[in-house]
Amino acid sequence: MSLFPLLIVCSLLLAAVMIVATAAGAVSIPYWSTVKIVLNQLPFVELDGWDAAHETIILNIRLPRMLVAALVGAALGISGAVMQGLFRNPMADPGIIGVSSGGALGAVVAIYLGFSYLHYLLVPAAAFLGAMATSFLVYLLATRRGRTQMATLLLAGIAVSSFLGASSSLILSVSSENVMREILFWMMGGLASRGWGHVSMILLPILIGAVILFCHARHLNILLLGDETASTLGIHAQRTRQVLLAFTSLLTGVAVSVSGIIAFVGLIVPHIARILIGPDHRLLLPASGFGGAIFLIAADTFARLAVAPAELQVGIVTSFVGAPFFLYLLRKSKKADFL
Amino acid sequence: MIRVQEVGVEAAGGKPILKRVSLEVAAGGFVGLIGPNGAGKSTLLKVLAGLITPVTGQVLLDGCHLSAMSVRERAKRLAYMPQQTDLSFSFPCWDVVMMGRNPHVDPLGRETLADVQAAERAMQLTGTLVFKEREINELSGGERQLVVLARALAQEPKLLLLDEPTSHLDIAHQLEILERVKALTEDGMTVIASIHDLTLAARYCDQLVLMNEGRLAASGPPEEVLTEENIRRVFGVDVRIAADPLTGEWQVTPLAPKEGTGESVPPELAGKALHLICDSGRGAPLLRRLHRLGFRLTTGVLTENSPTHAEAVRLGIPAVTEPAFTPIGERAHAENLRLASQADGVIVAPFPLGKGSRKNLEAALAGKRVLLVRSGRQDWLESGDEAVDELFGALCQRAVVAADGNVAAALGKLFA
Repeated sequence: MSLFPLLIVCSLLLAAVMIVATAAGAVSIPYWSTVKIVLNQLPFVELDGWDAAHETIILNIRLPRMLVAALVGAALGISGAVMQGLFRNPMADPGIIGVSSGGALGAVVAIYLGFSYLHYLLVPAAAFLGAMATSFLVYLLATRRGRTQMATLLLAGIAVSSFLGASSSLILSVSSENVMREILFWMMGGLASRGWGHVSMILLPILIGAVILFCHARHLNILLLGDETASTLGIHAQRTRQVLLAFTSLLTGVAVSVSGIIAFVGLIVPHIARILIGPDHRLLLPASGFGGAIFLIAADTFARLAVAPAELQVGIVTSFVGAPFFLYLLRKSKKADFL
Repeated sequence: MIRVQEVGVEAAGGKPILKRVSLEVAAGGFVGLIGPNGAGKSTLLKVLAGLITPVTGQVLLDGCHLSAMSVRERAKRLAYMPQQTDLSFSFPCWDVVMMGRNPHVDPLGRETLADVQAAERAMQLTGTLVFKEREINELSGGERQLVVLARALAQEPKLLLLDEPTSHLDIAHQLEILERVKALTEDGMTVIASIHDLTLAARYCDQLVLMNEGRLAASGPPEEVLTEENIRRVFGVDVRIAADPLTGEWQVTPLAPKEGTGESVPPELAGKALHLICDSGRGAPLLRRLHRLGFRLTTGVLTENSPTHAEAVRLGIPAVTEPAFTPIGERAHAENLRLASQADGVIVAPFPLGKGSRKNLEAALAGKRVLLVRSGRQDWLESGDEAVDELFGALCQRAVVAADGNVAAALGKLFA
């Protein structure tokens, strides 16, 4: 498959999932109204014929939340694909160099100090700072005399993650019950009550990061052949890896900051994409991006509906649905062996 | 084309790997790097590929400093094929070959018609067009190596560096790779390849560079570099280098392993006199082993100019001979009996029993101690001649019998 048909198929799928997800909920809204309400927001489009309450629900509640899900899912999917390629390791996920646990610690500290009552974007900001600082620290730890060994990076990431995880647990254990509850929910990953503020916070970094990573897809393919070969094929392996690591960390950090730790998306979406379209990152990155978006929107919709009027944490849904589906693909596909 | 000046490379601990290596290669040459493992061949290739920056000296490619070139610029001029490429993922071969166009495509990654044509030409030159759609990890090792070569050629380099392009390949693929590379040099490409197989290196390269312990031990046309003396000096191995009578190609035949390796006998046995009887059997390898173990040897009765005789002459071992198709005469028999009875022991190597074997068996029975060697099920079959079989039966009664691989140990038993 070449790039353009893939993009078209993925866009159509994404649009369909988006419409269904926006229409579904405690108040069921007809699909056609949903489409019209959204299209009406575009310049030069004048439509009418729907319930005003529906417009409020869609524009103020469901649409921003779904966009956050799409952006976070895409970011995790793309970062996961890049990390698996960079580490040449099927177990790599976006959080492998400590981004998730760093983000978690940032958020935990912010929640513990009560920042969530000051401004709703303070916890995401703290999580983002934690994520970036951690990935930078891990990178520094794994770099000696200007050379970064990928194996060292992986191990340093694991060690730092477990240290930060313990720190989070320590804070959690000395928290009051309310704070503990808030922290736990954050760590499970959720998209409840995410609004336009969150969308505007993550839109640009994720789009820019995704485009830059996509521009490196061809280099990522060549890096699979090993540093020496990449170097003799005209690629500055070390520099390219720095760029790739920096922008996957950015994407993951941004995603984690608004959604908490959503397990499994960054691990299984790239795998499923690889099983479906092969290892070529020029196709794999867009497919993982779209796949992540579609998967997370679907999971979040399920999380909203499954135990209505209450809600599940979306992180629970992704693991519950994702893991068995992934195992099924693993058993069924011959191409499941990595890369 | 390429000029290496006083290049030195050190390992992480400061241990030198290359010591002031200087080398000049003209355009269109096919240079073979030969030498023992750890001699620095791969390191030299990596220096040439720009993968290792030397601590001293410099490399000039068409007069330009290699270290001053950008990675991309370098990749347009030279291609490097590593010893083993990690290709365990399922890219179609076409994509793998197109990766070779990376230094040529624009920064946005758009592939032009020129890129497609270059990749197609590279696949044609390597005979891999048939694999175009196949996934690389489904190919055999030899086919894969050809695809990797195609990828290197897709770079349209002037200099091609190959690190053991023929290792792990069967003989057909070894020849195919080398033939195709040779054809490239005829079109003006310069090739530098490390090759372990000395015979193949001599056959395809027009210049050989013999490396040892990080230095150049010899450099020049194959017939000058590939001498028995050079090989003994660098590898510590005795070889015979001779033109193959059938093909006229230089043939390197290893004779004995390095000193201090392989089988050994207790020191008190060294210097014992042994007489080898092998009639028309293949006695040369055993003769060589016993010689290496330090025994004083004699042998007989051999057919004149047989391989065993030739080996005896080469090693300076006294041999009793008769011309071919001639029964053993009285004089030769008497001499053989004398040598056998005077020696400390007689070794009898497998040979086909027949009427003419009588005298050699008699000589064997004259030995003070006799060791009978067996090499497989098929040797020492009954001859049908009653007298000969009887003699052989008597020999079996007297002799210590040992399998071919156990001769050294059996000798210990023989003299115990």
